[in-house]
Amino acid sequence: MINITRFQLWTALIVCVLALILAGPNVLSKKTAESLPSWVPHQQFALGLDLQGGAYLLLEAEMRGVVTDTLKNVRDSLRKSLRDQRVRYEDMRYVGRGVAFRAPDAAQLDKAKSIAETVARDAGSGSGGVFSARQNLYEVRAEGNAITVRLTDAGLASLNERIIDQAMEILRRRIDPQGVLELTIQRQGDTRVIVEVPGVSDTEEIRRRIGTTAKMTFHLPHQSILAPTKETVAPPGYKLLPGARSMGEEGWYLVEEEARLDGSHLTDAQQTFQDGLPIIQFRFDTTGARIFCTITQENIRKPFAIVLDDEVISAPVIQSAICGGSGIIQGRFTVESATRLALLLRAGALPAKFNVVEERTVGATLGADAIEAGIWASMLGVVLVAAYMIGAYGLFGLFAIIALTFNLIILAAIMSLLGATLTLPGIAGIVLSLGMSVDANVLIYERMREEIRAGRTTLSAIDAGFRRAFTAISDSNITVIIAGLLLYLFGSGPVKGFGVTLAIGVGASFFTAIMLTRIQVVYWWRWWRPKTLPIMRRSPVPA
Amino acid sequence: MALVAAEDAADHAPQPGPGLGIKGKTAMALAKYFPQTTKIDFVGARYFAFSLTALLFIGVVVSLSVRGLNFGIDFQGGLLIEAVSQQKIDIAEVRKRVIALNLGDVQVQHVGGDRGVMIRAERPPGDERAQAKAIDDIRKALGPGYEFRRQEFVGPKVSESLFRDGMIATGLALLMIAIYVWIRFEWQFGVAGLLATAHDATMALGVYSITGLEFDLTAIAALLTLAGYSINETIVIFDRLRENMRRYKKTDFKELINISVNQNLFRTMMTGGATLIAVLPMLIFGGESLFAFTLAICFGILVGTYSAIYVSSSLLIYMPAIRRWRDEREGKGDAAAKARA
Repeated sequence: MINITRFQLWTALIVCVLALILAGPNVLSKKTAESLPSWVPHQQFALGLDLQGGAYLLLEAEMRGVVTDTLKNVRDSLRKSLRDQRVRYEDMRYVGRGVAFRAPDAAQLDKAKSIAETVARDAGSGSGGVFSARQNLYEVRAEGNAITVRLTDAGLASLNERIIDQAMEILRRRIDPQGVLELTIQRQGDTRVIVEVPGVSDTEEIRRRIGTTAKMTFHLPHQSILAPTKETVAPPGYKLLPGARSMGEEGWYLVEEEARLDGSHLTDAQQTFQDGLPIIQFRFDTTGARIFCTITQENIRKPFAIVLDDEVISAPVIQSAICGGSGIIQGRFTVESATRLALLLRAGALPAKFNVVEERTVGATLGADAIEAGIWASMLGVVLVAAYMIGAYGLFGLFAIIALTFNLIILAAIMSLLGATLTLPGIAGIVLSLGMSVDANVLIYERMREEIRAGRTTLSAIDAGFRRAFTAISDSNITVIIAGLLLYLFGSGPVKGFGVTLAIGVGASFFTAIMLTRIQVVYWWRWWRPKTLPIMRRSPVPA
Repeated sequence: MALVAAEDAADHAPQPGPGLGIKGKTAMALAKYFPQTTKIDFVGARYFAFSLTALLFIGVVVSLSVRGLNFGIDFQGGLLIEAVSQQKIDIAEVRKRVIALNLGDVQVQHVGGDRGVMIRAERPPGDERAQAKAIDDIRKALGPGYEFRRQEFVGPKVSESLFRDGMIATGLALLMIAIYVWIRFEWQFGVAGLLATAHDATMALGVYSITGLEFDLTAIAALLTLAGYSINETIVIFDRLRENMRRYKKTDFKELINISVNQNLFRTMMTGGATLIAVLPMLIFGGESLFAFTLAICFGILVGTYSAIYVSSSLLIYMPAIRRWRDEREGKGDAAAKARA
């Protein structure tokens, strides 16, 4: 323990310097940090809402309605296909997560089965996303003359996933259309979404924005006024709408007031490629397909405006009659803009009803008060501990405090790297990890004292102190790191925040309290060759 | 490892007995500045400690069953509004107005002096609109001139899952700790450590029950913190005991516990002191949002120290003999001792 290899020394130095560089940006204001050139580390760790104020909402999707809607489509296509192919069926009804019917005519049973399989396959691919290609979302079961098309577990999971994915994008667009809030939206579990809005303490506005159903509609533009301006006065029966800037649509559109078709009929939209160019493929449900067919037949070579929340997000020109229910939108898209448009088409309305199941707001002042008091108190705590350690162990106490300081810096560096969030319980985790860091040094120094008392020389006492305290420190640190990691993995909210800082803090302490202190003590010894250790000179009266 | 152990044994060979290790002039001179190793008979006094523990435990159980815990809205569901005003708030008037809203069980109290008010209500029946309306109604009932500092709503399903997740995470963490201690020490140590941690957590729960401090998610964080502290204390003492078991193979187990606890006593006090010093400013200046939390931590440090000295190590006395040590003691250990003689 008395030998420090060159490798150890350099590793320690590099770790410390790296930590300083990575933790550095946290001292700067957010703006300054963001303006740094990209090669300079500029990531900061985030402050939890309890520390900076803001609103937190936990939304839960009502999946029942979504499943029912999906099954309704399956039922409609089953009916249509069976009727088209003149297969007799009866007693069609919903059972659990599926649609069941009977084919009374034994001769047509096989045909009915294959129709059911086709419908199941189409419904699976129609539900879109990257999942459909690999998984069977629907399965067909036949018992006697009863046939069931049922949503599989994988199907339900992928439905959930798709719904939440869509909802997250829509929620972001609705709550923060300008992209100015530092909004975080994350998934929690299968059917929940966490929305965090820092700096906003009035949830009424947020609720209102979530609650307004974005309506997507399809309108025919005015026949003659094709390039209206802001000043154009809309003739009766028409309205003037702006292009959606977020989609790169500038200018104005004059469209029929009444929508020809609304977004609820759209079942899917995907970005894909045609001749190497990004396009959007979309699909309507049965009713939508019929209406769309009529409109396109009558309006070939005319634009068709897609309107979302009173903004025209795109106005593609109808190239041909589209009667199969699915079609493509070509245009000057980039992959990104096409993906976004596909998402918006899919995402026009929230795909499910969302209920607020948990809501917390912390006023900015309470957050500021909390952080100010917290910082103040922690600083005072650190100063007191420093005085206590130096009082008890003299120079070695100072070494321990230097190590402790680096412990904090490394913690800040790792939190910034991970983009972790610091919360009030997180501060508790830090306090515990600092306590354990101090404990490691106390263990080492007390062991040295014992060894000196046992008659050892200073060098051998230093060696034994580090060596013998090591098992106690490593065992206790590893246990606490295990605990911290489990709390992080399985806990939620504050428990998670506590776990992450505890695990990182104790991990860092394992390095600083042993390695950094050891380097300082050993180099100090080599320089001075002392006959006594500073820990032996003074000592508070034990309690 | 065997080499190190042998060297250790040799180093300590001239030592006449535990705790009397001071040698030479320098050490003698230093002796007046710091205490010699203490020789308190902790094991002998264990019945006193056990009675104290039992008494406290009964107190906690009684309080938990009679008073229960003052669950915050995190675990109970409901809504909470905290507001401050420029003027002194007439709490009776506010209460009257809020009760008039018919929101069921309502609590209205001052918070942070007489210019702050906290209102807690049950979850209103109905969907989210009912709940948004309830919050709105309360805000309207308060009237103008208030700044809203905190506004929370927790639905019943969420409060259940918050509680369940917290418990699962904590349970798993404790179990893994016990397994790790079992691997590194012996299973008896794992069990003793687990019981000691459970002991500390129960005591802390008792503090929440007796003082009526709000038991919310932050309280869970406090319990976890002190569980972590308690585990650290326990393991440090176990480590010393393990070392001494290897070194003094002929010594009685109870005596070994005494030696180990005494050797660690100063360290335990130093660490407890340092941690208390670090937390005390938070308790005093940390503001109300940290108060309950730090109070629990301060208490936890005291209990953790106590349980590391008494509960965890004394429990080992009542466990089946620790095999590795006993084997060495009866077999190899005896042989080695004979060889030395």
